[in-house]
Amino acid sequence: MSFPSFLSLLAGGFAAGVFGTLLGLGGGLFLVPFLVIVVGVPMHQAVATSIIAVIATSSTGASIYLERGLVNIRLGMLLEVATVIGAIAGGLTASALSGEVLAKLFAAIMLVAAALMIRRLREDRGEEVIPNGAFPAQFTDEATGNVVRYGARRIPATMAISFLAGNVSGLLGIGGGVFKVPAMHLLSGVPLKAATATSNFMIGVTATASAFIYFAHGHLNPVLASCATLGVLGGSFVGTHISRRVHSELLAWVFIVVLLVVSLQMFLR
Amino acid sequence: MDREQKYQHLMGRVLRVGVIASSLLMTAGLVIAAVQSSPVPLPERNPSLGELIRQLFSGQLTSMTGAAAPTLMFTGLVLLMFTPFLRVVTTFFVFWKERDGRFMAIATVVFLLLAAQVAYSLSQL
Repeated sequence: MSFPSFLSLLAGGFAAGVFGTLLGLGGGLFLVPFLVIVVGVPMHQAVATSIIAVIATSSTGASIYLERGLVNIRLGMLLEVATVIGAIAGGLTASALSGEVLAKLFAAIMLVAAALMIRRLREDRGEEVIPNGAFPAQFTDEATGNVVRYGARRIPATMAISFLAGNVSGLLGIGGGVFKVPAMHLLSGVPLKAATATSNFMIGVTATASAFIYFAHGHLNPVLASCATLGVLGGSFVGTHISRRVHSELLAWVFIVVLLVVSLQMFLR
Repeated sequence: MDREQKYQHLMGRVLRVGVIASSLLMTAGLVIAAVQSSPVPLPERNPSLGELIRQLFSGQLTSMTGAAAPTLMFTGLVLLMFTPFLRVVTTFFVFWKERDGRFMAIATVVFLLLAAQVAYSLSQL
């Protein structure tokens, strides 16, 4: 691998890590198109690399969010049952699909993700917190200094979406956070910061379920995956530390535009 | 700091150790690959866990030749792939300390699903 390729992989991974951790999405939504379109990696290899990167984002992000008390471990663990089953089903199906079909699916998922993000931004004005729901928890919001006490509702529906998130993760090498965060936040009433942190905690476990499938099928290129993962690790570390200062709404709008552009590019390939 | 927070700190530290160890291995592999005068040959398929362990203890690493690079990178990647297992095990430990039988059972189910998946995948190598 040439030095410029090495640097571009590190930079792409870094950007995916920063955005992934800030938004609780894992970073795969950025990394797969980057690897396919910019680096020219075959789709299955890109998905395998992305799944490893999702584990890296999740482990780095979760280690910091856990220490800040933002993760709802019980809610995350319950949803994980549905997500892991979905991921196993997705990972097994992916090997039977062609790279072209996977790319088109990925582009469609990005469109859905953009729509969910727009909805999330609109709904985010004035969070409705349910203090008496299931899995009660609390955290200190560092932006306001307030202690936020909340509970979750509509758990079966959120579990169903978690299954779908796991399935998409296994199929497309993304963390599935693009579904989990809106589901926890919009459907279950979990505050956005807790939903993002809990999603970060979960996505690594989800990704592991399918990572070994891709590993077994020989799609993991060690040089490619190591470069991208090291970039993602650096980006995740930076992402968790700047998350307190960055204006998340502006970031989310940038993210939506990127999603739409990349989705269009993948449809037109 | 209450008990719940103490356990969350413990889980955070466990994860961090796994991530740092895997990053160091991947970095070492990339550095060795970069300093070789000829391109490092990549294996035709991903190694099984057994092959990886044998390569680690075969003296290949101490030779610091190009062959050590993919072994180090694969080891780092596999270690990273196992960090979520650590997360589930540590979560089980937290629920056990809190005598929460229901969530011990849920953590066990997640662990068994993951373990079954990994065992199946590795059997395909």
